[in-house]
Amino acid sequence: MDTPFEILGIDEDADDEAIKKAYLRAVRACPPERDADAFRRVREAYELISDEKQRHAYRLFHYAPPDLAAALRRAVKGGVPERPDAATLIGAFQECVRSARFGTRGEG
Amino acid sequence: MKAKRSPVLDVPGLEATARAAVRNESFRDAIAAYKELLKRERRPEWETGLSEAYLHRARQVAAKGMFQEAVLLWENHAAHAPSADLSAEYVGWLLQAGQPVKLAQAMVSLTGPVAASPLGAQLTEAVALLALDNDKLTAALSGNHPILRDRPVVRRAIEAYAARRDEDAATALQQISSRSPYRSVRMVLKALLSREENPESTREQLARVDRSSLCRDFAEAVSRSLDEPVGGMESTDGKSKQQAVIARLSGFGKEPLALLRDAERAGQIDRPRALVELTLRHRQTLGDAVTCRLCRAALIGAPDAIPLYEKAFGKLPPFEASRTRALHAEQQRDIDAALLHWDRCLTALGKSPDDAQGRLGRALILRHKAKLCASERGQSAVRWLEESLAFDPDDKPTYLVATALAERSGDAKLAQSWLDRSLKRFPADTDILMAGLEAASRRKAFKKAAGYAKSVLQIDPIHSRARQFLLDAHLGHARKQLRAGRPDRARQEAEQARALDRQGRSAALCFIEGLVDYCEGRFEACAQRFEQGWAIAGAGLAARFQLAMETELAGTTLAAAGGPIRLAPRLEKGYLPDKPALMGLIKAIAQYREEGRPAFGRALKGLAAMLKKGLVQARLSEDDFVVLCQALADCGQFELVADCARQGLRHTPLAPGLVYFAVLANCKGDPARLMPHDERLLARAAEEAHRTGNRRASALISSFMDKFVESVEDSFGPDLDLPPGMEDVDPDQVMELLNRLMEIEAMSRDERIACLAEGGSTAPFRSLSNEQLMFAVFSKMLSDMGVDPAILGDDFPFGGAPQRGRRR
Repeated sequence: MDTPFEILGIDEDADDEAIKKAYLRAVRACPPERDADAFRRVREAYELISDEKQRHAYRLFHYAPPDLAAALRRAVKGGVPERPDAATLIGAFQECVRSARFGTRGEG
Repeated sequence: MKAKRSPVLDVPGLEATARAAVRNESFRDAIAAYKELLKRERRPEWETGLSEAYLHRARQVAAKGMFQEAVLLWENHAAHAPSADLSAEYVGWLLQAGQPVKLAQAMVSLTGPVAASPLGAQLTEAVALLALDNDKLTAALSGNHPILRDRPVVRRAIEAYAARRDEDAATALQQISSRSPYRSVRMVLKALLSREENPESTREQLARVDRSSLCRDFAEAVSRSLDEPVGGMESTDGKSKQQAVIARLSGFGKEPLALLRDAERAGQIDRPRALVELTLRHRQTLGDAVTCRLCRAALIGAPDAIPLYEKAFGKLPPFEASRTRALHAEQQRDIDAALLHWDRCLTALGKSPDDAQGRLGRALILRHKAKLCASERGQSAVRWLEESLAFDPDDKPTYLVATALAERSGDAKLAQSWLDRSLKRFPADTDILMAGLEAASRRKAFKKAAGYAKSVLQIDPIHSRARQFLLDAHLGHARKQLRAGRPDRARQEAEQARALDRQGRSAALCFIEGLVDYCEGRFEACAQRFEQGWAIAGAGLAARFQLAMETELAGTTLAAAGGPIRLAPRLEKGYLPDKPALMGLIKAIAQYREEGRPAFGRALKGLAAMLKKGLVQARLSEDDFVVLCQALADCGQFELVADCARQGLRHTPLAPGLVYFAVLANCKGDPARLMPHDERLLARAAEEAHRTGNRRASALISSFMDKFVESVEDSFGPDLDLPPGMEDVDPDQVMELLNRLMEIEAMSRDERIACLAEGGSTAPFRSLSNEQLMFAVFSKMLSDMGVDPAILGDDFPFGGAPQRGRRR
């Protein structure tokens, strides 16, 4: 799970003004009428850390289970793109058949 | 051991066996029976029966993962039903059974509309894809089949693409027609060719892959990987070759792939200690800062892993170790342990330099402690809040919470002192002033409350709650003056109220103004005021109720017949309140209840007939009836509650909420009057409420039953005022008797007679009515317990008592 600082895209030592600016920027990027869920996340993040007292309380008492899976995925870095060999590519096409649900596709 | 032989059956016997086997889903037996029948005679209905039995049996074995058997059984089914078309499930089983050659044969055998159906197209595409590296499969195809024609071209294109001979690949792809079974492969390959130079074109081409194509998901995963390589890989749903293709295209080496696999595993771990271990294993990849943060979070779930963390990052500071344990204890709902560890945190902070951060931390921890045990240890909580102000003196919420907690713990003096402190510190704060207003209202110190309201309005002239409070206060005073026969003073109060109701929304104010006019002999003005109030209140049932309430509250003289009410508008003859009118009445009742105004009975008396007719006619839902019942019950109008519940139950029989109100009305709102019959009704209603998830009805019934049990315990406890003759009865026996009462009521007439006859003649009892029988059984039970049945007097516990003369 992202921390409120990550959601607003700011450093953990950001001050009130920087946090408010980041919040307004985030609200402009995802206004409630366009993406209500994203707006709610931004709003909740802001409310958790909007002033020094809130930030202190957040650091002392907030608990969210660590999302190691997300951290590991974020840590995965791509390198120089390469092409697969012919056998792998043929295998990939054949895997399309493996989980096919016959007679049910393209009808929705 | 000799095999058990089935008895030889005749045709009707075999037919019955086959039908029974199908009914019992014993399709193997059904197959055997139909086979036997067909040996005797080849009847079409038996052929169909056998074919169907094979099909069902095929599905049964496929469900167990026995796909080869399922394939054979399906083929038997098709053999006995020549008109049966190729089915999607058969194609799926062929693939699962690893029989591509049969798949190719099935494709070749397709004719007519099935060949042109989506299933036919998918089957052809499946064979084409499998044929890419399966020579045996191609042997099943005839010489000029498009798969045989295009397969070598596609392979050439793939090899050229892999070897970065893009021109050769493009030339090969041009030879594949748009009707080829490889058309989707051609599109994906074309898209891949442009991926490095023009990703946007790649995306567009991948989006053109037909929705019904088997390659569609792969195309979507490749497209997604353009923006999110990891997401693209995850959307391949574990297909390793497709993952490998995306990994190569995105430039992932072996290590990131291993990391992704670990990420998948981590998502499934629910043991915090294992999470700490896995996090530490990936320290190098994640970096120290992220690893440390993740471990710290995981430690709260598993403080026993602190040594693991300390081995990697060094000793955890005492404050952090205690904080981790405190949060762990909170997770475990062990509040005492949590408080102990928070105290250790405070001690640790006390030893650190006395800076602003440290002081704020101490204040926050003390407030957190107060929050943790506010409901159970209110006084300690208030003490900690007090202590917290030494470190952070200007925290307004702390003052408000301390005031509320002191009040809740019943210490009015302490609550007042907190309020005074709050007002001294925040004299111009509307929240604090409103807290003062609420507290003064609760103490019925209305003058003081009005003072607070005025202060609030000076700071915030549109503060709606303060405005409403003052308005209500002036209306209350006006009513009081009217009752005391001082209309001039009542007018002054009404004028002050009018200043607060500039938009003219208060019907009550109009009615009071009208009453003042009436008292001063200005009947025309009175009628006008009444008309205004009437319109504001909705000109219906609610308006009539509000006017009646106001005249009642203004005193008995005004409320008398022939008084001011004759000047008010009248409801049309034959007026029947509809749903909005009934809901308006509920709102008006709630408003007067909130203000603590009684006299509902007299105000509602004149409306009862109209209300009852409205209940019959208005289109109300179950919820509407429940809300109405609740409002009427709150006014103590149990006769109306009974009518309302009865009408509701006509629409929705057995609705648990309405059953509750019907019973409540029977008991006149007093659980102690609950009769066994109603108790059983309530028990059934509670079950129904539980079954249907009707929490509201469940809560109402449960609270009522709790009160009933309390009343029973109060009546039969040690200091009881038991009926004469029962003083010496063991309380346990009394409870037993109460339970038996329910049994008697549940007995049939014959059972009651048998109980009285005790094995002798039943004739003397046959002429008794049901009620008399019940009474006789109950009396007998009392006698057996050594209690004089005469104690029952007229309080017969089964509803109406039988006539005394007839009882004997």
